Amino acid sequence: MTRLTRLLGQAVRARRFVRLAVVLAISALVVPPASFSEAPAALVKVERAQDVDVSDHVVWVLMLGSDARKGQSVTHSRADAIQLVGFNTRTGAATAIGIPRDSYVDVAGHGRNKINASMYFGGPDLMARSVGDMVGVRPDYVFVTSMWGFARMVDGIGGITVSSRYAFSDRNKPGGFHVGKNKLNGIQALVFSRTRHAFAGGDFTRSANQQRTLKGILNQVRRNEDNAGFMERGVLTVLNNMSTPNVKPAELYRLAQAATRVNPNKFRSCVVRGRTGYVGAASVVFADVGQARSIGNRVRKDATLEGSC
Amino acid sequence: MTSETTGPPLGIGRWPAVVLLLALTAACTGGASDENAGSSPPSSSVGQQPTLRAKPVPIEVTVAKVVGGHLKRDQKKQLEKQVGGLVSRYFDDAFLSGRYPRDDFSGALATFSPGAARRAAPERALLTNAQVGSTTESVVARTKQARLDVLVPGRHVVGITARVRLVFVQQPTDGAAERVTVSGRLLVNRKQSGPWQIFGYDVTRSSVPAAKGGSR
Repeated sequence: MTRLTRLLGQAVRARRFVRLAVVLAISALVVPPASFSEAPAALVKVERAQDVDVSDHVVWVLMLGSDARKGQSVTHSRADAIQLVGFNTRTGAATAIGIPRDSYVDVAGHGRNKINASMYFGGPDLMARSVGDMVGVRPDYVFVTSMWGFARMVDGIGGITVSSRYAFSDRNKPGGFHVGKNKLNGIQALVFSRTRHAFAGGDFTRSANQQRTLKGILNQVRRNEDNAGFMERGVLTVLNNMSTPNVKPAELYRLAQAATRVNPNKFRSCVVRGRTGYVGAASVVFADVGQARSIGNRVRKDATLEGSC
Repeated sequence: MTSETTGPPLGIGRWPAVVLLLALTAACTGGASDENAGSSPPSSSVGQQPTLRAKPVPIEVTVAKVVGGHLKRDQKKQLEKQVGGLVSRYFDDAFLSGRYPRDDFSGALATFSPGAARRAAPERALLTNAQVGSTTESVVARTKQARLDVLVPGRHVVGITARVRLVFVQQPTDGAAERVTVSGRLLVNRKQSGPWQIFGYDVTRSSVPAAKGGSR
């Protein structure tokens, strides 16, 4: 019995040993030769790659602010804000070309008129054609927003900060707008983008302020794009408040993601210059079409503006 | 005791020999480190070669935010399975799978849309292991994670931001092991009922020396 017990004990111990050996051997194979942990401190080089698949590296978007009141068609009213914005997803550069809304131009099929009447006559398509004829850059997309839609969108991203060149007052912003940085909610951003009578430069200053607003939006988006759900909420806000003719939501989502590739430091802007005058009783701007074409030629292919306007 | 009472009996003395055989086979074929790198599921059939495979690291995937509409629980599960699978496949194709040292990265961006894959070509050194594959002895996955932000403006999902994180340890053929982290955002959508694709990326890659002997 004693010998048998001893033999059985040896067998059990041997089996245990074998099982242990199997576990260790498998561990040696399955688990890497040694287990690793992160070193307590190290100089970390972080490299970054980013891009978005859109049809071309350079995308031109005509952004229009409609002056439609409640009950009016947003896409068949006059355009108060006219900004042709190009961005380059490869380089992160972007250029905004501001068009004075009273620019007196040829409107296809309607003779000479203010450029902002193009949308009233023929909707976003005709507006795109008028701007394209003036600047020599045909937009890939046209986005139209109403005043209240614009305000909602700005609120939807948590407000923006703009840099103002002028101080002016408005009842919607207690304390008024200051020279330098101003934190704005949706309504205040709308006021900042629409006000013109407060400035000697009138429509030209207003157009420049619209570009400052765009930059403020871009900065806000870039600051928050890493927050969970931020981009999705932003696109939803656009879908709910902006007319995006012929653009499916999935395409808009791509486009919005592509736009975030713009580096705010590479954002340049120009307002097409001109002189004010009258045609009959109407106050108009005789825009410098030569300058508009010159800017268009310089930025058409890469949305990159070197030097001054 | 079950293992000792089922199947053909193995003499006690033969076990170490089998273990040794397995170990040597794996070592001779380079299977130890290579197979660790693979994250494709091991074949359920009995292979002809008695190599041992690392258990693949499953991806941890959750729908973090749903913006716009609502997703039912089974829709969320399906999305997690589909998009988690997409992200996992990208990690495998680009970093984890294949036999290292590895030269072939031709399919590394197969989960990208054609346009995104074209754009990503100049950045393959960051988005894949192409630059270091031939001088890497082994790659071992540690963590695969994806948190999904989903845009559902109507009845259909139109876009997803996958916030991803991959951690793996790579052992160069010559040099110290590194712990590599690839993280950032992968932008995902699909055309009609086609497959989910990665149409954009904002990804960083960093590495630190991996110290031996610590926890995994």
